Amino acid sequence: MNLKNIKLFFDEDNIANLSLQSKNTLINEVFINDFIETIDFIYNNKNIKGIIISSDQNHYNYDYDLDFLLSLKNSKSIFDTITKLSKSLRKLETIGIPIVSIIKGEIKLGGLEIILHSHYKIASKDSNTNFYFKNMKYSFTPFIGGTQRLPRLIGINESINLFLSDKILSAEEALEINLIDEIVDESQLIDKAKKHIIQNPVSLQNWDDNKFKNTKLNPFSSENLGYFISKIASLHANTVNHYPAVKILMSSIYEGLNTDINSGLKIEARHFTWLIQNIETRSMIETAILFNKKEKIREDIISEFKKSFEENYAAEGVRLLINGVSAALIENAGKRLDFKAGPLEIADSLEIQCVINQLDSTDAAVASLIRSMQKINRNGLSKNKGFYDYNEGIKCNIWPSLTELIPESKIQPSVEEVETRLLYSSINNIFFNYTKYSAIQNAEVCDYMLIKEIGFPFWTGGPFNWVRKYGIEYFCKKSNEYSKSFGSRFVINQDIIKILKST
Amino acid sequence: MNEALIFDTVRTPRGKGKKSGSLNEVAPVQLAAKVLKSIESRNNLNTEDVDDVVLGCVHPIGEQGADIARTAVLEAEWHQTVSGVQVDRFCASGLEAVNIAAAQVMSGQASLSVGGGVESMSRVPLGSSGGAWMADPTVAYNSYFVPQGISADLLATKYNYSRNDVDSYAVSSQKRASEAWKNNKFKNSIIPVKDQNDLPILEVDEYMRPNTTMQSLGALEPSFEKMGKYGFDDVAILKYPEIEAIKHVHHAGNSSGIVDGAAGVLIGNKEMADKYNLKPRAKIRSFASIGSEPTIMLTGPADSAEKALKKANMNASDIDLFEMNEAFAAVVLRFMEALNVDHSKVNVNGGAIALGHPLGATGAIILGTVLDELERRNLSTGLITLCVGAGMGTATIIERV
Ligand SMILES: CC(C)(COP(=O)(O)OP(=O)(O)OC[C@H]1O[C@@H](n2cnc3c(N)ncnc32)[C@H](O)[C@@H]1OP(=O)(O)O)[C@@H](O)C(=O)NCCC(=O)NCCS
Repeated sequence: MNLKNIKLFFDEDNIANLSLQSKNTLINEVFINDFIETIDFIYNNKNIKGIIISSDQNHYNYDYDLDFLLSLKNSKSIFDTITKLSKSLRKLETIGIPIVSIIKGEIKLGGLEIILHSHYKIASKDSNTNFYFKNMKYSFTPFIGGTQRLPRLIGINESINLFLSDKILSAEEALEINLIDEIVDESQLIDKAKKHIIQNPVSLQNWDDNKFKNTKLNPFSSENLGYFISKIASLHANTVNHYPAVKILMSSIYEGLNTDINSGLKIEARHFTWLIQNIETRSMIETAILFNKKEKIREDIISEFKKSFEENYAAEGVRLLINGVSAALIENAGKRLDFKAGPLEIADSLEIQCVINQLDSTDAAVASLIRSMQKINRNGLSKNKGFYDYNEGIKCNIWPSLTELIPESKIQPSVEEVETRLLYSSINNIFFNYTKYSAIQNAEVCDYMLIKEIGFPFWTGGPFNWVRKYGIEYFCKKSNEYSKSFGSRFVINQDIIKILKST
Repeated sequence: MNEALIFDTVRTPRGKGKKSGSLNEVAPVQLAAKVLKSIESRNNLNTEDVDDVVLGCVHPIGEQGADIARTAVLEAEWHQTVSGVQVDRFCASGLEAVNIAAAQVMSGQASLSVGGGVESMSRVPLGSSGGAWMADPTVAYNSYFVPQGISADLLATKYNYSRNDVDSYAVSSQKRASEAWKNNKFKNSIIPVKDQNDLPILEVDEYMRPNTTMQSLGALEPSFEKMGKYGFDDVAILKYPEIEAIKHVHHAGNSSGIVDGAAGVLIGNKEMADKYNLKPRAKIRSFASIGSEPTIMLTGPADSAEKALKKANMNASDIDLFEMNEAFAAVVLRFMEALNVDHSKVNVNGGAIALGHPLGATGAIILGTVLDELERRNLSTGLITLCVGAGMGTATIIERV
């Protein structure tokens, strides 16, 4: 064998030592093929007493290769690629002889998925050994068994909470929740692993052991049923119909726990195959790739952008009010887009005067509403009165008499229409500023800045990314219509169209 | 088409659906068997003539599992040729069972059938059968699942029913129910539950609180506010973005009571009436079930009533008395508003807010209640309807003959 990613040798006790090489820390095609070849080799060698999986250097840093994942193009190739790896690891897991992982340094999710296949996990007792979780809301779910094995190992609630967090677990914390089995000094890792293998010549996972029935994992036990019902609601509310990974994570776990691990793995792979082709997932992964590059943007530029962006968003909300749209619908539309709050609430938080900065000659009614509210001291959050009523800074409800100043139309638009208008207005505001501030050199950096620093909804992948994904032609057409009905703020600069069409 | 004739309606009293409730010691199959035995003896039936027993039951698991209808047939020692089938249309199961029994007779495929239902909520609690609707993430997300109490509060918010409105309705339900008991209005259908030694266990609906006032209700905390905060309110608003916030107005005093009970309706054709010399009390004019928007969930009664009315070639104004199951006060308020019917015609002997709602049985119970009342007042037509989980409604129109 001539493998780039894996070193394999057999020691005097006939234990296979399989060490992952950290020069390639990403789970990609080469890695997958190397892994499969190694496992097949071990599998066919009947004299082996046990297997130790380790990482060659100071890290167990295997994570996913995002570019590779995005490069997989159709359902069949995605499904085949991931099940190939998953099946091979499953073969290892069920080999019958003990598999031990020795862990030191950083472990990321890809690495975690791999060590979850081992029957015994020993971590080094040093402060550098940490398990890194990254909130899947903004990316994708595990696909080599993580959604099936982690809950079976540490519990349902515990797994979901970890998967949806940015937690870093120390070795001690990992031991406490049963994620690993033992902590020893680094120098003892190999000896302990060998000792475990010699003392446990036959070994299998709990989930493959008929003697071991974990009733805590039944999704329909009264405790878990209640948990699923309310957890689904809170996550659904939190993801406002975006961030599909969250729903997929829940579905993989729920559906998988209603059956055995083998079917669970297929369930997980099918969900992942769908998820990785989802437009929002891909947008978010692209942004994550940019995050990794950590571009630096000048603080003053960020704050200029942010001010204009928030004021414009607030002003668009007030314009919608003037058009007769109900305040609740406007606010809910903003929240459904996953802006940090509705436009009227943002107006209050900035002081409603801020809206004035964004007005043009067609906005007399907006200015007049703002002035009327200011006259009765409803200046915003600082006065505990604005579009909302506040009690010592805590939001209570939309000001009930607002409809006396601006009546609601009998016929209300759909929430989707209101969302589209808020989103288009925001994107056009950003495009305008992009051409104004030459300090930002490219559209991707702008997307990155908006999500990371300004609170533009993550699921879009940023305004440029979003427009490209959902169609430049359509965006131009719709903006054009809006500019005719609602004003020049929707007019797209020709330079922007060029930028959008490039790459 | 044959006429489906109603010969008899029987029900147990409703016991509080708690361990301390009187019927808690009685297994649900016994409740159902008692109803069947009583139908047999009251009508002098040779049970060999009964084709089928259709029983509604919403949580057919544990001791209500394995086809409780057939199990009850066996336990009642009915002839072994009588088949039994358990049906579940959530809260309308008991009425659905009656409709199925009626359909068997109308289509000529049966001569004599029983439709009814049973639920021991104290022994097999609400929600215990689980289900993909609420627990499967894909399904729950896609259907914007919220529990029924949240739907009831959403309904009240959307249609502007204040706490005062729903509480007033509840007070009137209690008043009517206690009046009805004082005047012994349920005596025709009710059978006391006794033990194997003929010792009485329960003879009256024990859930009622006749002293209920606006003040006493005013003191109760909303039941679904905390649940709403888990995220269900936000899910409801995702589906109904015109709503700023859900107003939680329902509580223990204006929601249907959790109780135990069973009921049955004997339905047959003319031939059977003649054979047993049974006086047909009413016929089934029409029935219908519908689906409606599942998050608000509880608007189905009006739609199903309209569908049944249309099939019978009738208008709402042709109906003398309505029984609209009081799942939650706002559901009845909305039904009356949508169909433009006056409260004086609806639930004249109180409803589930005062008397309780033993899920699988209620539809058959309230059919008996309205028929008894039509006879007492010498009126002709009654419409029975219930709101149903996951956004459905079921309605049946009966007419005295
Ligand atoms: C609303 C609901 C959650 C309340 O449950 P609960 O709090 O356990 O209700 P209880 O009947 O035990 O009442 C609680 C307390 O409220 C008070 N209360 C209830 N009804 C009252 C009334 N009419 N007047 C004054 N107080 C009343 C009492 O203090 C009572 O406590 P007590 O029985 O110890 O005296 C429950 O009744 C329910 O879920 N109903 C709907 C059932 C359902 O969904 N059915 C299926 C679909 S329709």
